[in-house]
Amino acid sequence: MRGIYTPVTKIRRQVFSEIARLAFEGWDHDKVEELPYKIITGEVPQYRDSIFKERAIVGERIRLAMGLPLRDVNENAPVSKGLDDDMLINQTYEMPLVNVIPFACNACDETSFMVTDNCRHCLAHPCVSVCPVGAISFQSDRTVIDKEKCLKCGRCRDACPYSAIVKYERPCAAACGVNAIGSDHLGRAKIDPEKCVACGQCIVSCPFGAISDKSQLFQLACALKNGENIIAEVAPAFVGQFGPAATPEKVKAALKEVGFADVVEVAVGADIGTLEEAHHYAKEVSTGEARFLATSCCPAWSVMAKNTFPEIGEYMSQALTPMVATAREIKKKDEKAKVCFIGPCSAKKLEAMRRSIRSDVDYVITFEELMGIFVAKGTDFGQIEGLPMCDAAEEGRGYGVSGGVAQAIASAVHKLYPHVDVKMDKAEGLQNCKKMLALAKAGKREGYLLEGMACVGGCVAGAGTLQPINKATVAVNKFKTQSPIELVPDKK
Amino acid sequence: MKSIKVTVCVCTHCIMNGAMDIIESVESLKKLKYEIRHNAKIGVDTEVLHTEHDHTASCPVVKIDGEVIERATNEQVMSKILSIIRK
Repeated sequence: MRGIYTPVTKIRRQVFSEIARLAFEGWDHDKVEELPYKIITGEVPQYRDSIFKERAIVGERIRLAMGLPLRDVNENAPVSKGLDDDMLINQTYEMPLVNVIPFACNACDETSFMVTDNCRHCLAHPCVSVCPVGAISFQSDRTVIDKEKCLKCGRCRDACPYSAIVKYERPCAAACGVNAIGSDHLGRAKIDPEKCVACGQCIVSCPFGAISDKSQLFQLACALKNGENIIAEVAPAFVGQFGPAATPEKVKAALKEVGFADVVEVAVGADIGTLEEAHHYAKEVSTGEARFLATSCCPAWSVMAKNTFPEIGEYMSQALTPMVATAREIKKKDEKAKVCFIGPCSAKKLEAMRRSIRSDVDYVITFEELMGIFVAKGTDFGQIEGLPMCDAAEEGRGYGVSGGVAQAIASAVHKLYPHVDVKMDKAEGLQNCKKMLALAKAGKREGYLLEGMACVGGCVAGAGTLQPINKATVAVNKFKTQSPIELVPDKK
Repeated sequence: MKSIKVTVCVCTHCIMNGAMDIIESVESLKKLKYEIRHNAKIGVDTEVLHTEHDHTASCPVVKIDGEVIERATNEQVMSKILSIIRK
């Protein structure tokens, strides 16, 4: 699912474009009510059993894209309920960030093993022989696994010579690296907000488009329309996200064209963090004072680490994340500016909701949501003249791909402390990150620099990206080598 | 060896409607040389294409050997390319 353009992707992006268009053209409650009819046209359903259901789901997606909570199904409320000027001015939204639209959910069964039509009722039936609890039996015309007894160990699947036994997983739960998805009383997916780290992988994994996150897209677009002083900080993974015609220089120009006062690379903050972590590694980790150093720029990974392994929380980097560091640099130069982080994922939205960060970062949107703005404004990358984009060094620009953070810190250590060797390990995907931390907790990563990324591939694989991961990786790596800036050592 | 030229429109609207995924799916056909037994060279270009009709309603737009496909999907494009190869 991830990285494949499907009707779910189409609807999600249509909502972003229409929301942005509504904001720029001027909104009122009636126009909001018309949006589901604009997105889902006609009378024949294209995606579900009823066009009314399609429009109702789109109505909830519109609400989430405006930062509004889902409506109670029992309540007769308009799509625009809760949307007012106060909400637009305050620009923040309430938890939960990631939401399941209950009536969009297919209530997929939770994890189980099942026998498919591939089964030949063979003489050997090794599936029966290997099952430790006798859960497999033959009925007149089929082989059955008793789900009450089944341990979900998978031995029967491995033993079957016809690959007739499959593991059935609910896609959203399978994508969740922190087991935050359970079921409600009707068997529909339910996210535990205490466990959820907002990585967004469930959003892009649900084949029924039942999961979506809230957005500040509408508030941002309204603010841009009103000419507010907003500076965009773009995450290192931005390169190539808006198509082959959208070079980094043209993206900067386009951002200014749609109303941002200026554009800064978040790689600036990444460079700041790189130096801080390089010093920390050389002075404390390589000397044995600290057991290891785990990076913290991926909020989904760092929240998971702190929740799951609180005892090693002290070894998480205390450096500001690139998003926050860059925002603070921006506001040092322009106190009155608001800052909008534009990045690849929803986890950064969760990070920006923290009270300690709300004053630094005013808006967070994803690349997909920004593309909605470009569509609404009719941005033509073929015609735009690019603007120079050279704020950051190669090290910071490399943060967007897996391994980039660790490489950046190692590079800085080599420049500042040539006699220090850097031992590194990295993990992609929250399950692998947990395994790496388990090793670290057990003392098998002493003296290491540990890089964790919630998304496989790094930030370029975030839930809010548009470009295929392999191409995005190449684009980011190419852009980083073009940086004219040398990472300048500080005087520590 | 047959040579097929595929041009994918990369204007903002087409990108938003899956143009990059179409590029990816066309390139994936090159990796299926053995499975689909083709001996064709598939070239993929990107540019902003112009259409007779309203482009925003037609996107994504793909041109295969001169033939314009509007509201193109991955499966439609791949299927068209294979039908040309198999002629």
